[in-house]
Amino acid sequence: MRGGVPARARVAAAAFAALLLAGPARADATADEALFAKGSAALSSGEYGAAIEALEALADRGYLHPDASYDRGLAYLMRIRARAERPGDLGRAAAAFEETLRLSPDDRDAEAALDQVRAEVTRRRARKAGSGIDARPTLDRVIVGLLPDTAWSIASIVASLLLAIGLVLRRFDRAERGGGGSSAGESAARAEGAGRDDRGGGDGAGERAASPVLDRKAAPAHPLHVAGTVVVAVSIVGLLVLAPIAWHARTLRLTTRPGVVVATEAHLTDETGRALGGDAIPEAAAVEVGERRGAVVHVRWGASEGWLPASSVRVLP
Amino acid sequence: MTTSPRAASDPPAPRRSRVPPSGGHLRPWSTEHGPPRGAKPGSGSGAGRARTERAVNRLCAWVFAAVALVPAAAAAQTPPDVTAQISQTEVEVGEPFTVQLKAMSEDGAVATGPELRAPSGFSVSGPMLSTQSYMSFGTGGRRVLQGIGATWTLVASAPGTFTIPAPTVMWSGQRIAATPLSVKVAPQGTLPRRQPGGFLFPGGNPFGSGSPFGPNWPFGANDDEPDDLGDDPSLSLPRAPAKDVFLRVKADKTRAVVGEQVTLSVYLYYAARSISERADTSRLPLKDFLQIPLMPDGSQATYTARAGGRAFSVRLLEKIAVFPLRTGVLHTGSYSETFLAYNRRTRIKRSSEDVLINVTEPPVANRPVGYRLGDVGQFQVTALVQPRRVEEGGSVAVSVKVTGSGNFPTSLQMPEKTGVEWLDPEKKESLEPRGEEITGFRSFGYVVRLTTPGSIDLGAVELPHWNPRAKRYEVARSQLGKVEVTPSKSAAPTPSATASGKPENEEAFAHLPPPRTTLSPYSAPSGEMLLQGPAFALALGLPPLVALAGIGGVELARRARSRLSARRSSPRTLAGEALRDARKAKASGDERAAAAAAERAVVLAIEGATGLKARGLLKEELAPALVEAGVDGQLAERASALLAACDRARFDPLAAAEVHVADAEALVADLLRARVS
Repeated sequence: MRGGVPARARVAAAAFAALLLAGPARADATADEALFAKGSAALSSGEYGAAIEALEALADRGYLHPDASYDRGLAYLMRIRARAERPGDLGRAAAAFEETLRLSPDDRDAEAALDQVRAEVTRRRARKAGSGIDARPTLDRVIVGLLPDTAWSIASIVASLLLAIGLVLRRFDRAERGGGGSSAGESAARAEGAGRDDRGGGDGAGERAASPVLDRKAAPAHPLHVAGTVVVAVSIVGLLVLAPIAWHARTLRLTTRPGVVVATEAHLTDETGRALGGDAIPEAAAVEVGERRGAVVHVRWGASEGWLPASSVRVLP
Repeated sequence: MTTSPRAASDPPAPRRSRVPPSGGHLRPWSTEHGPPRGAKPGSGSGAGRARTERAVNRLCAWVFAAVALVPAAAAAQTPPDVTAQISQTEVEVGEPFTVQLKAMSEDGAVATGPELRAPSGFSVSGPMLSTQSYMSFGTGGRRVLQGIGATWTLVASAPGTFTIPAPTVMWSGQRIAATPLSVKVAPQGTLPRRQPGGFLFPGGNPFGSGSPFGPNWPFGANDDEPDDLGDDPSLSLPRAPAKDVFLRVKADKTRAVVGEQVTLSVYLYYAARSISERADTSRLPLKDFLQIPLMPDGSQATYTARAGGRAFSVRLLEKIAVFPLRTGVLHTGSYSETFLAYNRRTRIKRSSEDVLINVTEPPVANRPVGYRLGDVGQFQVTALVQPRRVEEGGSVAVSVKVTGSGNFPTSLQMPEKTGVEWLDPEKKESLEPRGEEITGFRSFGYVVRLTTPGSIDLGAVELPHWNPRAKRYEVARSQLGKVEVTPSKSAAPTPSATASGKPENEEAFAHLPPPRTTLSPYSAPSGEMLLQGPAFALALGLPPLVALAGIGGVELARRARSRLSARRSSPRTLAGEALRDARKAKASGDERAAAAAAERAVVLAIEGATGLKARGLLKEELAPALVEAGVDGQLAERASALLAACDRARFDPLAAAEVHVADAEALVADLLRARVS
């Protein structure tokens, strides 16, 4: 064994440090699981109040799991079924199921439950003689929504790489032909030629200087040059289209979050709280949530945008 | 209000109280909007009287507007308490005194038309109207009284004992009377001379000893007496915002969690002979706080303190318990006060600083399930359930009482479950300040409908809260126990039906899927964005930029090579090389080779200077051609001569010795120097 800290001591210290680091994380995980178990047990025994408390506490702790979100949605539906509904319960249930689908997009049960909730909202609005509202997203949101923002980013980076390759390929043709006089031997030969001209009194320099131009005009373009030209053109167009979309998608992802309305009806206002008019956003509607200022958040619903009380919207993770 | 023990943070007891404390159970909550307490009738300025009249007119307009707006409401209200008060029971002939009437009610009943019928021999002026608002705390909870006040100024013209008939006020179509008052009028100059009042209201202070500021406020009976009070270090300040009078708001803490009590004390600092009375008050806005007055009238006691090296008298104007409603740096706003200066001619307006309270949430760690932001204090929960046996569909009463101190919850999270319907609770409370804390109870009375037969465990009611003293979460809990629900003998009650004949919520959520009792394997997506921020822009722009840079670099290298090559083959360079060859040949004794090299150098120099190919010209044509090309004639002749000598040296070895390389060098240098553009 060499001098310094013995290997065994080092291993022990590393294990101790790992234990120290892993300890709190494991304790947190155990607490989360216990809270979920408490919530689901309460739900199974019909104690929806306790279930909602436990599962909401789980969400407040930042714990994300599709099953926990799903059970939370069920707890709200159970409260509605027990005629103990509170304003916003439908929206909270919808938010929970939306959350489940964001975490696990293939969850058919959550999808069906969300459909039920939205159908119930529609039924209630119809019962109140309210007309159906169709909130259509704007064109930019439609385009950006076609692919995930990562896909747009990758596509634009690929376009950028293609542009680089195209530029190099276009250059390839010149280098091959030596139109630019790139080789040192060629230069030496030319210098020698000039010397011979000096001695012999010949005057062929002008002719020689014109010859590469003539050659270029006469010879067919190199296939790589043609390919490069095509690639450059295509990639420039691609870059001009894809880069702004990718940028917009990234900006939206960074500045907005999906949300669900958890008030019976939400009326958009301006920043000062003055009603903007227009249709009220129905409960359980999916909205795009932006900046928060004090007790209000900026919300975009279809083409309408304005401010809502923060308590009227549940932001999804 | 209960008498409270002195809190530790209270200022020390005054060594001398300049004015006696107000003794009434009820204390004014807000300042009165009465007329300025100006000079005696007849002695005041015309402008002052006009102001007074305008104020009275405004007040009357408000009162009558209020009457016009709420006639129906007044009909359903209880009659106000009407009281009358006289400023002095003994006056001299010609000495003004006041009679004040107050009509107060708890539900804000509006009384109008105050009337006073003075005995003959009395001159009456007024009434001057004011609005009144009082709040009291007692065992029955907080009481808020509102109403109007009317003040008449009377002057007797003859001595004697008189009974002034009870002043009256009109309410809901009937006239309500206060009690009659008695006054003894003595002949002029027979009564002992009184101290001049701090209030210049006719007849002295209309509030008597119950004034919020006391007689002669803020100074004692003898204003000329030097201030002999000691300094109070707890109220001292390193700097005085103003040299005469200023206001200060002191918070017992500047960091708190949402719902935690912060106590604010408003102090008035004033120098001797700076102000005579308070004219107008604008209280702390406190828009982000729930506020409960601890000492709405402040303290009558006066302390002394030093601010910026000067001695000030200090009085506590108000003490409030405030509870932050949200997180952030919250502003209390400023407390403003307008004073009448000591000379009683000018007004001085002062505002306190805006105190900032940094409000955060209680820690997330160990936060109990069901904790709601704002539940802060020390609480206990007790519950009573009656009866314990009920028929299916019947109801039981559940009374939950929260006792303790702090920011009491406005609602409780009840253990809701299927088959147990909790109706909205009826709330009662008795909260009062004790020391500097808000203590008491708030109770919630629920009616609980039980719709499932069997032994139903109602569960437990829990109140998780943050204890700011212990700096930890606590859960106040009370078990509700079980209720026996017997099956109903009659048919089950039909739930509300929709048009389709089905219960309202049955259609939508009658068949819910079972809950998920175990967590399925799941790994959360990373959710990280591909290349954050500037890295993405770099990834987007870098490839074409690198390609362009590479291409540019290659092009630059090519051009550099080309330029170097051109430079090597230029006539100047070649002429230099030829001269070097000439020197070498000369040194080795090869005269002919030296002459040939010198000739080559001159020819190249001519080409470099003029572009002329000298080898293509006849000897005799060279000099004129050079002159024509712009070369100096002498230089042209020298070039022509040297080339001729070199030409001879090609065939004659002796002539070769005549060709001097130095001449060739000089000629080449001259030619290249005289280069024709």
